[in-house]
Order: sequence, then C-alpha cells, then structure tokens
Amino acid sequence: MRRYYLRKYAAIFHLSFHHTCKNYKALMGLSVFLITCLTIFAYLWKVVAAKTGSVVFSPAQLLWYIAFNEWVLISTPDTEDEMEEDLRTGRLAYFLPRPLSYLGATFAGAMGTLCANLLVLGGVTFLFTWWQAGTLPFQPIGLLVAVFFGIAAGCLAVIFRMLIGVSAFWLQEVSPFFWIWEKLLFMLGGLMLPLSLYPDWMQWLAYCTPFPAILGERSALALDFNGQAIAWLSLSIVGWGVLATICLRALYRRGLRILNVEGG
Amino acid sequence: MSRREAFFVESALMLANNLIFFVMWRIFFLQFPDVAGWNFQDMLTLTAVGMGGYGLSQIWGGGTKNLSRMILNGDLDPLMTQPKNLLLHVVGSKVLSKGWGHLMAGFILIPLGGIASVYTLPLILLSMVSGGLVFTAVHVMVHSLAFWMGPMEGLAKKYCDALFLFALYPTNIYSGLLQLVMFTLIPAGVITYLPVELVRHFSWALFLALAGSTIAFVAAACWVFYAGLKRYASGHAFGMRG
Amino acid sequence: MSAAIQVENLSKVFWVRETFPGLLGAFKGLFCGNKRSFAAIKDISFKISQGERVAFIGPNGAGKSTTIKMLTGILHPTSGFIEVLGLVPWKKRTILGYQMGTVFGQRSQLWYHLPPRDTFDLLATIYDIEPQIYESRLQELIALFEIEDYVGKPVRQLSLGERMRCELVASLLHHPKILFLDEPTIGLDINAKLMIRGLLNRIAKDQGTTLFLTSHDTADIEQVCDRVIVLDQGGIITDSPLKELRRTYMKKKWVHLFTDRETLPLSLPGVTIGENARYHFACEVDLDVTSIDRVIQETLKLTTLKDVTIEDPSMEEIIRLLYKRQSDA
Repeated sequence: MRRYYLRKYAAIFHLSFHHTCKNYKALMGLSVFLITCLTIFAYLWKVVAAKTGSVVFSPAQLLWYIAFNEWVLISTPDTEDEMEEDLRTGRLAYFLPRPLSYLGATFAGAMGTLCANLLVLGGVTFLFTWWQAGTLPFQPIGLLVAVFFGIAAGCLAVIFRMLIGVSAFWLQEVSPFFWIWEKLLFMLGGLMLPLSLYPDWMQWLAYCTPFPAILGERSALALDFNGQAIAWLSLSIVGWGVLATICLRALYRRGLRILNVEGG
Repeated sequence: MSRREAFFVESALMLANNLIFFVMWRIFFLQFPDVAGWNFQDMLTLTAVGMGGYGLSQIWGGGTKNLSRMILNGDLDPLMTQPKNLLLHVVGSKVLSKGWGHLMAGFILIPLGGIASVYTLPLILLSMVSGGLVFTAVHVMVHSLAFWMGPMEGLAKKYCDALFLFALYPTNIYSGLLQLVMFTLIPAGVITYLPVELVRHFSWALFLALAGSTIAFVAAACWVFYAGLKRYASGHAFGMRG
Repeated sequence: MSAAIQVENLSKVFWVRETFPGLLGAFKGLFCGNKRSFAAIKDISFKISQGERVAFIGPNGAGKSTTIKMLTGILHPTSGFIEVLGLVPWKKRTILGYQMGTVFGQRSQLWYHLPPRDTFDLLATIYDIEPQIYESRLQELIALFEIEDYVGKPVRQLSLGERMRCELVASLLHHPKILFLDEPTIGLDINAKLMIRGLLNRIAKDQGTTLFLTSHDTADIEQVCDRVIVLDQGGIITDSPLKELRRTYMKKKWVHLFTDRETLPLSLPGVTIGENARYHFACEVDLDVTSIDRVIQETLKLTTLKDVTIEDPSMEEIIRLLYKRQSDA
C-alpha cells in the first residue's frame, strides 16, 4: 500500500518535470534573469577586485561562488505563490476531496519543477560563468559535490517556501514574508560575500540559521572541498529539513482547521 | 487575518525586508569602502531613492501589476466605456500595501544615513518621484507588450523584478554597451545613478538629464499603451479572436 | 433506493468584521470595528437518492458554495448532520474522495502546458486505478465525450468547450458514484452547452451517477435535472421535482394565434394581451381564471385560425417568480 501511495507523488514529480520543460517561455525568462544577476555580480567584482585583489577566493573563484549560489536560488520554484493562489482561487477545493496529501502533492510538484530548472539553468550558469571567469577553478569532484548538494539545498529551500506558502491561510498575500526570508537568505546565506568575511558575531548568527546550508556553505564546498565540511553541510540540511517539515505539517493542520471552520 | 491586520503586517514586513537588504550592503562596504568611486553614503542615497521610488510606483501605480492579464482577458472593455482617462484609471486602480513599506524604508534611510541637508533633501525627494514615474512607465510598457505578444505576465514580472534589482545595486560599475542599456532598456541608471550623481555633485545638466529622461519614459509608456490599445479596439490584438 | 446525500438541520455560521464606507471609513476600519456573526446556512434538510439529478440553485450569496463545501468535506458545519454515500464528509474525506468527483466550471484541474492525457494518467495513479481498468475506462470516456482529436494536444491550445469535456473525463475516470458540478457550462457557446448537457444525461442514465449541479443557466436545470432545490438567504425555499415546480408555481401559458384579421378584438377575463397586430395575436392566459379552450372558442367566433402555438412558461420565469415571492415574504 505504501508503494502505491509513493507512486502518486512520483507521478506528480514526473508530470511537473515534464510540464516545466514544456513551458520554455518561463525557462527562457529564468535564464535571462539568471544572466542578469550574474552580469551585475561579474561587473561588481571586476570593479572591486581591480582595487583590492583576492579576498578569501580569487575574483574568478568568487564569481563561481556567486554562480553556484544564484543557480539554486533562481531554480527554486515560487511554491509560496502557488499555494497562495490555490487558497485564494479555491483550487484547493480540488485537492482536498482527493485521496492524497496536499502538502505531499505540492512538494512533489515543486521538486519536479526544481529539478527541471536546475538542469536547464545549470547549463546556462556553467557556460556563462566559464565565459566570464575564464577558468574552472575547482576539481571535478567539487563540481559533482556542488550538483548533489545543489539538489539537496533546493529541496530544503522548497520546504521553507512551502512554510511561507502555508501562511496564506492567515494572510492576504504571502509575498512580504517571502521577501523577508529571501533577504535574510541573501544576507546570512552569504550570497554576495563568503561568510568568512563577515564579522564574527554575524557568522555565529548565520550558522544558527539554515541559510548557509542553502547558499554559501554549499557553494564554498565546491571550491574548497573537504570531508569535514561535507559532514557539517549534510547534517545541517537534514536537520533543518526535518525541523521545517514538522513546522509545516503543524501549521498546515492548523490552517486547515481554520478553513474547515471559517471557510475561504 | 482581517484586512487591517494584513495591511499593517505587510507594510511592516516590507520595511523590515528593505532594512535587512540594506544591512547586507553595510557589511559589503565595511570590507570594500570604495566601489568605482562611490562610498557607503552614496549607496545609502541610491537605496533611499530606489526604494522610495519603487514604493511610490506601487502606491500610485499598483494597477500595472494586472495590466497584461486585463489586456488578454478583455477586462479593459468596461473601463473603455467610462468617461475617465483609461491609462490613469488602470494604473491607479490598485494600491499595493507593500509599497508603503518600501516608501517608509526610503524615508527612514535618509535620517539614518545622515544624507539629508538643505540642498540634498529636495533632490532626494524629487528623485524618488522621478524614480516612481520611471518604474511605473517601464511597467506599463512591458505589460502593454501583451497587446502584441499575448500571455507574458510571467516574463513581464521577471523584467520588472530585474529592473528593481539593477536599481538597488551600484549603477556606476557598468561600462560599454551595458552602460547604455542601463539608461534605455533597463533604466536603472535613470532611477538611481543620475540622482546619486546629482547629490554628489549637483549640475544643471544632470538635473535636466534626469527630468528629460523621466518625461521621455512617461511619454514612451503612453505611446506604447495607446498604440496597443488601437490594436485591441480593432480586434487584432493577440488572443482577442472569438 | 439508498441515499446518496442526507442532510438534516444543517447550519453554518461565519464571523465577519464590520467595515465602514468611504476613504475615511477605510482608515477608521484599520483601528476599530466589531465582529458579528453571519448565518450562511440556516437549518436546511434534504435527501438525495442515488441516481438522482438535482439542481441546487439560488441567487448570489444564497449559500450554495458553502453547502457544496460542506458536502465535499472542505467546510465543517456549525451544527446539523451530513452523510454523503454513508460517510460523514469532513471525517472520511479521503475515503469519500474515491467515490466522488468534482467539476468547478471556473477552475481547471488540467495541467496547462501538457495534453489532457497526461493529467488523466496522473489521476489514474492518484485514484489507484488498475492499468487495464484505467485504459478501458479511458477509451470508453474518450469515445463518449468525443475527444479523440485533441486528447494529445496541450490544454493551452484547446477551446473552452474542448477543455470542459476533458475536465468531465478527468472527473469520471475513477467511476465516482456522485458528481458535484459547479457552473459546468459557464462561458460555453450554445452548441458546447448542448453537448455537455447531453453527456451529463448519458452518464447519469448509463452509469447511474448521481448529479449535484449548481448553475445560473436555467437551461442546464431544464435539460439535465429532474429535481430542483432552491436556496435563498441560507434557507431552502423550494425542494420539488421539476415537473411539479412548473405545475405548482406557474398557472399561466402564452398563446399565439395567427388569424385572417389584422387585429383581434378579443377581451376575456384572465387574458392579458401581449401583441395584437399584423395578423398575430399573443396573450398570456391565467388558467385559474379561464381556459385555453375558451380563448380559442372566442377567437373562432371572430375569425378563422391559421395557426396556434401554446408556450409553457420558461424555467427562468419560474425561478424569477420564486425569488420574487421569497423577497416579498
């Protein structure tokens, strides 16, 4: 029975992957947005590096560091928007009478989209950054590690975005919460600067959050590959994933009770 | 949550969101005090103007968010029969509450950063207004492409997000073709670079450049919208076939 | 026949915040205001047998969507009793899900960039339909709904009528015993509407599916349903078979007479003249006062008749009268 139950979510994953690949306009839009961001950072670091030289990483490595960050950041689907729309338009009404979990279906769908985006945008990121940086300043194993943990980090980001999406039970719009989460991710995840350049107290604060696992620590791993960092990152992703899932389920149940009583 | 609670929560969260983003730049400038001649004060001015302008565009022009959808669904029809200016009506039809959060962030950064003086404060406030107008104009132009290109709400949103992103990063770092793009296709240069340079070293030439380019973008937006509207009214717009 | 739906003394109360008019009122509303209760559904009861085709109608705000949400387990009632196919909806929603189908006219369950076939395959997995059973069921439905030509085309390329047919197929794949339809023909042209109504009749007849339909289009009611429940302000104002509704609420008929006289000087109690020119005499006859026989007899005394047409009142007229009587009461 459990096999059949998982098969439903595998089917949703597969369909979502396929659906995303067919929606080439959206993929093009994401690619353009990704190149926009990488262009800004490429120019920013050229200007900065011209004056200061290398900091922690060389300018080329720094560009790859940012590229690995942007790759996962932009590939993560707007799950919180979809959940908000499901609630606002009543599309949730189609899910609830069906014999499957809404959270499970949303997660499976988001993972399908994430994997399709990671695949396409991975190619775009790799080619553009290689062109801009001129070098591949990491070992092949580093690239494999980056890809593996990119998927894991994307998965963690999806769960957190679902956590934001669930707030749609209470809020008119969830995007303000998302923007806060995103800015905290940029800042404490080390989007633009490796965390080692932050003041000590800020580094300590960052490591108390899931953000380095999603962005900076993961990207730095590709450039500075070592076993201890892999172990720390794995533990971080799994630990935060479990905690976020527990919170998500609790909030969803509470929201559903409110929906059941007060309508929507 | 009721509408009133949601309004306060959204505005407060947007304010917090912008201030967090700003802290990220503080950390950056602590490490790198000079970015192509700009210092932290200049970055403060850029952020205040960029956020303030964007906030204004969401307050007075929140209706642009739905413009491409309205064009495709034929929702302009009932508005076209009303005795009001159509573009102003559509653009001003919605106020996005998060715009207040952006605007407040812009205002808070002025005293926080000590960037206001008798001379610079009017310039900063005027730049917020011109920035808001340019943001609104670009949103109108991009969404109006739906008259010709059909469903493109997603692409339009991404374009507008990219413009906001460019406007909040140092706009003095670009060279060559990209610098030209910063004043034309993605006018972040008009929204933040010109105001920052005006505050750094005022000149009438720069002031006229800012005013002129703002007027040009607004005029272009009106032209693009009404050109598309002719197509819509003639029934030849994308997706209007029965 | 066992009950498909059983509802007894069902009520639903919501709490809403007070609002104030105008711009100043909007600011006032940010800082003060009270909550008050609002009874969306007030003590309604009805029973629907398996295989019945029921229209559940009412003016906007009557409580139709609220009732459907309670029947499908999305909303919990404040008080009262509901059973759908012997199960309490909000307690056994997942189990009920296997036996129930839903079609919401304004919301789609098809994946936009993919062919409908892909959504069908997914639904087969969700409803645990065995592959052989699914294939034969799918072919049966494709033939019935005549969607062979576009079941492989992306949904974004389909017209609204084609999409609605695919929505119905999607809702029927798992052979549900009961189908909830919320405005299934909204936005469709006349031919597409006729097609959808015909298909609904066929599935109800051939497969014994219970239909629970809400619609503002009275033709949907007339051509699909055999029973009407009318809701207004949270309460049921009428629950009767369609034929009885006509007999009970409308005792007037329109009579069209085509004669040799350009105008007809006919005057009878209970007869209201609608048109009397160019050899066409149209009148509304109150059957409580006079009979159609009498009208024709009196006409033959004055002229010869070339043609006679007698029209029943439209469902729209009946429903309008029902709403009017309720609001007058």
